[in-house]
Amino acid sequence: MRVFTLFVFVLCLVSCEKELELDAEFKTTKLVVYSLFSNNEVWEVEVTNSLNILESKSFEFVDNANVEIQDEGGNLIERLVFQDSSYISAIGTKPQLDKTYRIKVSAPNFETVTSQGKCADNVPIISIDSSSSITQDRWVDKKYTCSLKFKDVAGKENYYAVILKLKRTEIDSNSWSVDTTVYQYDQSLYSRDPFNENNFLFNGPVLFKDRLFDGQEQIVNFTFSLFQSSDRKVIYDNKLQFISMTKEAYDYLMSSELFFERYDDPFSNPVQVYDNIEGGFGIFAGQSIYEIDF
Amino acid sequence: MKNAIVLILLIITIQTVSQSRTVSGFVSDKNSGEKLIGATILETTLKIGTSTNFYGFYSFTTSQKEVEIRFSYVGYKSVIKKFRLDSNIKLNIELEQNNILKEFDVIASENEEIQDDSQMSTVDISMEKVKSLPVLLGEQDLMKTIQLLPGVQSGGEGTSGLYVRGGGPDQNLILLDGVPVYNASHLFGFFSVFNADAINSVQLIKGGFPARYGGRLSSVLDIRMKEGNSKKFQGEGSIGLISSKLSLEGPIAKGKSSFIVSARRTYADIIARPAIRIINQLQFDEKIVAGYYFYDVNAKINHKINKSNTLFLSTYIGNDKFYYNTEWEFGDGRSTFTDITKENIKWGNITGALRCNSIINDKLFSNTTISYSRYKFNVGYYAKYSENNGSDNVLVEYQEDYFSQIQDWTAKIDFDYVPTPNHYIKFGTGYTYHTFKPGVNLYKDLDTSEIFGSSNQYGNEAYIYIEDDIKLGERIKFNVGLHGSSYSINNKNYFSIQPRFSGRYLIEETMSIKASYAKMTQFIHLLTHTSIGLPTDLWVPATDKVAPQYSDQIAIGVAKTVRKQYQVSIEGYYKRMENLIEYKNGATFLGSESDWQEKIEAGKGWSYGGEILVEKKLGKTTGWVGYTLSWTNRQIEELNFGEVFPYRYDRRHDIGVAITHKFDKTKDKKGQEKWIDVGLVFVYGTGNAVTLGLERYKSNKNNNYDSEIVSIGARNNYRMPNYHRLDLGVNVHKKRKRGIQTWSYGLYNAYSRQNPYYLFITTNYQNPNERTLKQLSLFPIMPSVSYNFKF
Repeated sequence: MRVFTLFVFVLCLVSCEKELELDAEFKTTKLVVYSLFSNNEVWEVEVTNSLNILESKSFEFVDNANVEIQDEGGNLIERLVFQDSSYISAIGTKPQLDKTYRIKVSAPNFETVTSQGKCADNVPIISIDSSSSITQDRWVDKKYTCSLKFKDVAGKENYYAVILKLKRTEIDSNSWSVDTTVYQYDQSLYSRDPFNENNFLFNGPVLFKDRLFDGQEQIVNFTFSLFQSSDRKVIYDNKLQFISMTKEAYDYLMSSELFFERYDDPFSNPVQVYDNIEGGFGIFAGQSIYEIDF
Repeated sequence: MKNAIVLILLIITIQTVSQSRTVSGFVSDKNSGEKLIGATILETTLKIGTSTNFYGFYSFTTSQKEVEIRFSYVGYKSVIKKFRLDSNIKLNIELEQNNILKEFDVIASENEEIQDDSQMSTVDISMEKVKSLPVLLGEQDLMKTIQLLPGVQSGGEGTSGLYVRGGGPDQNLILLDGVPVYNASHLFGFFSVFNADAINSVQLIKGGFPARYGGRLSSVLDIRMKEGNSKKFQGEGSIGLISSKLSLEGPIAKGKSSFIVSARRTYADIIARPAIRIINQLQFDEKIVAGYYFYDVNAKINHKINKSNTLFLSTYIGNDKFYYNTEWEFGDGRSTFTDITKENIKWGNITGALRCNSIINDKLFSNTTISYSRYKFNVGYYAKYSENNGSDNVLVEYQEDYFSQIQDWTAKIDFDYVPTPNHYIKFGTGYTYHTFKPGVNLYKDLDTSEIFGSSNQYGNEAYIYIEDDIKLGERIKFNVGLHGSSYSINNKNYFSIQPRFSGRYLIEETMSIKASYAKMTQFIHLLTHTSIGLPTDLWVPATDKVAPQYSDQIAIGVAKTVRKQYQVSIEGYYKRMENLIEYKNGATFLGSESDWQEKIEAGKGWSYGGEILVEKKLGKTTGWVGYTLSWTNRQIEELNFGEVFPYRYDRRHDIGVAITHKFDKTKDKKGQEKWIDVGLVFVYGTGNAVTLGLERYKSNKNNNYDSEIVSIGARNNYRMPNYHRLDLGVNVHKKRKRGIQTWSYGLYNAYSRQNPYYLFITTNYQNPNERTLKQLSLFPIMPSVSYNFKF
């Protein structure tokens, strides 16, 4: 697109730049609350601070916050305690299914933030089938084709994600010493199922709603490739997560995946990442993870 | 409904049969023969009358035997004809321009004044005003003059797009001689495609649309080209900083046929080409040819077949092209390598119309048109690499093209029926065959040729309308009509019945209150990505998946003429729009891997506000001051999480001032007449609403690359700084032996305000956390000079 560059160049000839002050409303630092909770795990909430785009500081964990978990009526259930980098339940409290929870976080020099959410239904995997084939291209990859079967919860709008958490260890023993490298990332999954909503991303999970199969047993088909090497040993320790989630968690996951996909793309329309923290940023929503070794 | 229309026509016909006689004919300019549009025909004793239509035709029926009719037009000497009317007569009138208008000459006061007209939200733009106002780089620009009117907003610095009462740029029906023009801008929107020298009249309608118009939601810009001087050969032209133009017109067969041809071209590319070539040859040893140009040609021929029929053939051709070609050649003694690349972006419109005006009888006039309109956009890339060592030759050659196109074939017939001075009925029908090519890729190399992307779509659009401008006594006058349209595409049919009403109630002789309602339907959409009017915006059809756009607009207002010189109008409006489309979050216009229908979301929008226009049309000092206070919002379920967000051009305050002053004529030493006019333009507007990521926070991802989320909070969450600018201009005219010469001097952005064009955040690459919010401004103070001549 050198012609666009030329156009920009011509504009630059007659243009000038000026530095602008940011409006005051964007200068306030806010609390960022992050908690995707599940009835299988104890409460855990991460609290950090936001920055305006012009500040050159780094994000910090806010360790002096008052983090309260309340019931729907605003009654205190538990005040979480800070440990390592997040606030957790000191007594091992777990969220319960079908209950709505509120969170209230306050800290010195920050505006108090609140949010509410409920747990997502537990939806287990009924079965999973996979087959693999070697693809010969520039790299030697192994291509997997998988079918995952589950039963949707009837009469409710449910949201799902399939994520492959990948840990790859490469051991190069051809050289004079043994060299081991570990990679950890979410593997790209491709699905041609009509209900898959994540067909605009190059990388990421399979994301879908149950609008087309409410209450039924459903199969999700997807493929992915794993790197293999002919000159070094590759060991995988993968976890396949099937996540049932609330609408809020789904909107967050969907929009944040898209955000990272389109980051720095000048021709893309801007992406808003969903958040549900009143007065701040982040997400407080329920999800239920069913994880298997894969 | 059909019966009601027949009954009304019958009553009207019965009324007219009762011993009435009709005077009909054309009103034209005495010197050029050019038809005068909107000239007033007034019976002076009864104070009733009519006006000429777009073709200069009038018809006036009365039961009076002795009549005295005054023919008048702004800037022309009135003609009064007194005669006995025993039978229907044809009377063609020629009016002479009045060059000695004084401050209080109010001969035009008999023209229909603003409070008399049943239409509201309508402005006639004088081409003389367009030519005398100062503009960017001295390039006279109709669209930029229109942007100074209340209710009309410009997109951004220097651009010629129109945003009328909260509508998008696609919602303006821009008609050139009745043919729609899809992209009305050159050079990414900095100049409009209309050559002021070829235009006869311009009317802008922002609301209360008469039933004869349809197909767009927000405005109608009806531009009529000149027909060409039928009396003598004449020409005019100009030499400016960026372009030159020439118009020639004259009779082909005197009194029978005439022509006009007008052409314009920029020449920055021709001037800069040798310099670019030499610099690159010396610096990089590479041949580079790069540049940009645009040109446009308007042409029109008319031929009077007989007293009742006239044939018109008109065309507009305009193109823009950006190009960047490189050629690199080297050898290592054994082989020769050649690398050639050619890149270009080009876009342009072609329109053509064949029209026949027929006087069927004294009261009935028809206009039959067959027309063609095409807008095409193309991005092309060509590369060729060759390696020649005498025995083994390598050749790699390929070409990539991305193009989009919209093409219309239209046939229509319109009738004007004037049974009595109290009724002016217009009715007609039309059909358009649309062909859409919304984003197609072509890939071609030595072995393969592949076309992929969105497939062609074909739409059939038909309409029928009837309207009547009715006068009930002295105080009430209204225009009521019905526009019905149908559209079919991919076996999906849409029908729409659109009632229209616009009326006035005369409170006193110089003041009226007005009200209007219009329902509009639009079967095409413009899928637009950026604010700078890139020609990459895609024209796409309503389909079985994407519904047509609809709007309802109501307006009320007051119109008053003060001291016979000042026209004041105050209007309030509310407009609701449905099925507006926008790109999805994260969608990109580049690439055709998915169909455009998969990249969009649809929703609704609304706009409301008030407008004040104070205009002075007579005297040495003329012009207007306009002010708009408005709110415009959008709501799309899948965007902004379903929340309401301001439209990018939601402009709370918008002020436009356009004033010119003509000084008296004087004589120079040689005894030749000279005169000066000066112009002033001032604009002020609330800053555009843009989407900027201004806050950031830690992501839950552990991956280093994805550690930060930049929050944009809401769509269009940030206001650019306010926009204001003052332009000044002086035109010095001198009468020469063979015509008139004019030197025009202009000062665009006289106090060099750094207006925002684009906001962006820069990152210091040595410290990625160090960022700065910056504003890019175009066009500081820009002087201009141009030489114009007329012979």
